[in-house]
Amino acid sequence: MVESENVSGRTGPASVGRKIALLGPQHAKPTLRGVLDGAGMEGPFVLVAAGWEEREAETGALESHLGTEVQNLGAWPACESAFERDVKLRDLMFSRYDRMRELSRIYHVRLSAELAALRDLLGRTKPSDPDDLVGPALVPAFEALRELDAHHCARVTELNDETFAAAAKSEALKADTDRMGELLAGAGTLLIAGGHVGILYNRMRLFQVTESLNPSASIAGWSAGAMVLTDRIVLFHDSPPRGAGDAEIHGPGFGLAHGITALPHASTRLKLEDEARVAILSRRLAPSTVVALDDGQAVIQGANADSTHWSLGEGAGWLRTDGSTFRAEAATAVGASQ
Amino acid sequence: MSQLAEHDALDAIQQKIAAEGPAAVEAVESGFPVVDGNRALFAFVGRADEVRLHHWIFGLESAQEFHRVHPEVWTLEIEVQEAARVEYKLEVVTAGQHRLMRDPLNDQLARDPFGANSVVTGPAYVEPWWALEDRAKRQGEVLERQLKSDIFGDVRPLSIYLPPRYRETRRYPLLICHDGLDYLEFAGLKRVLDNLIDLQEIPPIIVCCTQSPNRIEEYAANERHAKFIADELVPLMEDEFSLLDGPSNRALLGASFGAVASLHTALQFPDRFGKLFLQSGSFAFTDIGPHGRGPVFDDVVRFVNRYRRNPSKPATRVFLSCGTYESLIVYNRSLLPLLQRQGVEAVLVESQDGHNWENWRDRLRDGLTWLFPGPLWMVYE
Repeated sequence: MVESENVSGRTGPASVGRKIALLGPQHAKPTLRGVLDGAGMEGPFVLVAAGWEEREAETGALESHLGTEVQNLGAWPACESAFERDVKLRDLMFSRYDRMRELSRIYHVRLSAELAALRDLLGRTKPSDPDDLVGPALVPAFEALRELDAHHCARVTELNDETFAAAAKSEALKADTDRMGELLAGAGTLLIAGGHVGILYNRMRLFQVTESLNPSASIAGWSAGAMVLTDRIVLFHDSPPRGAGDAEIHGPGFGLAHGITALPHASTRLKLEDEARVAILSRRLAPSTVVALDDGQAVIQGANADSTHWSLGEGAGWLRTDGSTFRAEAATAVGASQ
Repeated sequence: MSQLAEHDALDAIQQKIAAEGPAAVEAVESGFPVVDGNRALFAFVGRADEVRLHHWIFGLESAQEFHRVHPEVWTLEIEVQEAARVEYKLEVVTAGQHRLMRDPLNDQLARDPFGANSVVTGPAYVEPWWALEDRAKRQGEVLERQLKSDIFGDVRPLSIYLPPRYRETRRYPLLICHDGLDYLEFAGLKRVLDNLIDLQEIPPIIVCCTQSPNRIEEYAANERHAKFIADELVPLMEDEFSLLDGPSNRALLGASFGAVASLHTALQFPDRFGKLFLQSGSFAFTDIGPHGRGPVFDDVVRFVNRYRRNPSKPATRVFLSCGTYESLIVYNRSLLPLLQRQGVEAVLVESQDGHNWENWRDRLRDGLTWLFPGPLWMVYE
């Protein structure tokens, strides 16, 4: 595993040519309209807001902000209805949930130990001392942590693939999948709202949202909606009311926003002033570029006729491997000599 | 109150006061007491025969003498623990007249239903950020209701907290809060709920705040009160609001006698209330001899003695909190293993604080997030 500062943030094959915007929370400081306009992301706007769960239909504030109507996929009630009609499907998803929890418990056993070891080593190392014996131990310690994350993510990926392949056979999903497919095929921009990141990801997989999306459509996701677009969904909180606050890999994302890890609510949920914590998170997730997205902030791909680079919008932060956080004062290409 | 970093700063101030009198006190712009590390220097300016500090810390002399260091200035230095919060008043004796007053040199006050006390805090104490109003966060609302009680034969005011974005189509857990109007006013309960819900640290929850006109009697393990909660208040809430079913979604909260009322109600109605949040509970008991706490405790002590002789499981989860400056800490420490032996998942959180509303406010996050853990890790709105 290469232990280096990540400056790539390049897109993967799945997203070449597509404009993608990852945004921070939109409640207190809505900026979506400005981001869409600035990046030339046009309608028709199709919305998936399954992360809002039972409030999925409440699109009034969003439409008011956008100044136009959105076509809401309605994935939340469609799924609830399918579960009622197809008990096997419901049991399949419940079984996946139980297995996810068990996989998570297994992962946590090693995760807390690996992180504790890293924190201990980082506390002892003296980089300025030419005879620092601890420094060289950090590289394999980070490798062990990344290997653990990758192993867990692979197991969840396997579980997901099995589960959603089986779910795709359910007749109870077919009519809604087809209905959503038509909307998605005609979409100019797919909007993905935040909320419960696990539920959002599941509903998008169940109804094959990314597979059905118009290949040239842009995508704008905020908060959890940004997280699901990335390669891996990272759950994080440095100071939860209970527990250690160890960031963890929840599982794979859709990989459309390749090379980026999106951390919405970063200033609230992370101790960004704690350089050791920031360094651990950033180096652990390398080579992905770790981006802090607070209220209204954004990172955009393809906004300036450059479809292969990510550009930090004003205020958005880049968590660097030295533990510092670079804040963009104006639109800045990720990795551009900060 | 001010915090100083310089070592021996207090000695220097003391010397200056002794030399210059009131002018040296006035020169300390941040006021008194001055806290330096774990030491706090109090001052009083005025004509008096005696000055004392009353602080209600269990185990210490409740009245500590100031020393006259100048004809019109009195000082006292005490030790304060790291994260301590100490409420106090000054007792000033002049010509045989005793006056209990707030510290005129200290702007930091703690309010309660009986007035206000002055406050001194240790160097590590910080007022919790999650108890402060944040208008950027979504706000819940508090509805006012009247409950005509057949059991008490009168009308009881209720303040009902509905979480932000309350929807009839969604169902919520119910927390019933004794002395609820005081919790709203003196413990900032609404602000705390708004913040914790917004942060996803607890799920959206409905809180019914009830207030007794005679809490000393009604909260002292009173069967009519338990019946009022279980048979009148809960049904009203279930009729009017969209609630999740089952004991895991019914909780009782109370402080002092309110904690006794909560425990007693849960024991009177087994399997109705799955969660209890008991703050500085007045769980006095007597293994031997009189309790010595006055007649208002008679019913409480009888109840706790009975419970200790024949314990049962009042709820699935019980969160206890108590200040180490309270004499009640002994009873709360004693209750914890008793509950755990009944199969209750119980914890006790102690704090360097006393029997007051800010202590109860400061433990709300611990208790609420333990009893009602929110979807913090999974929700990013």
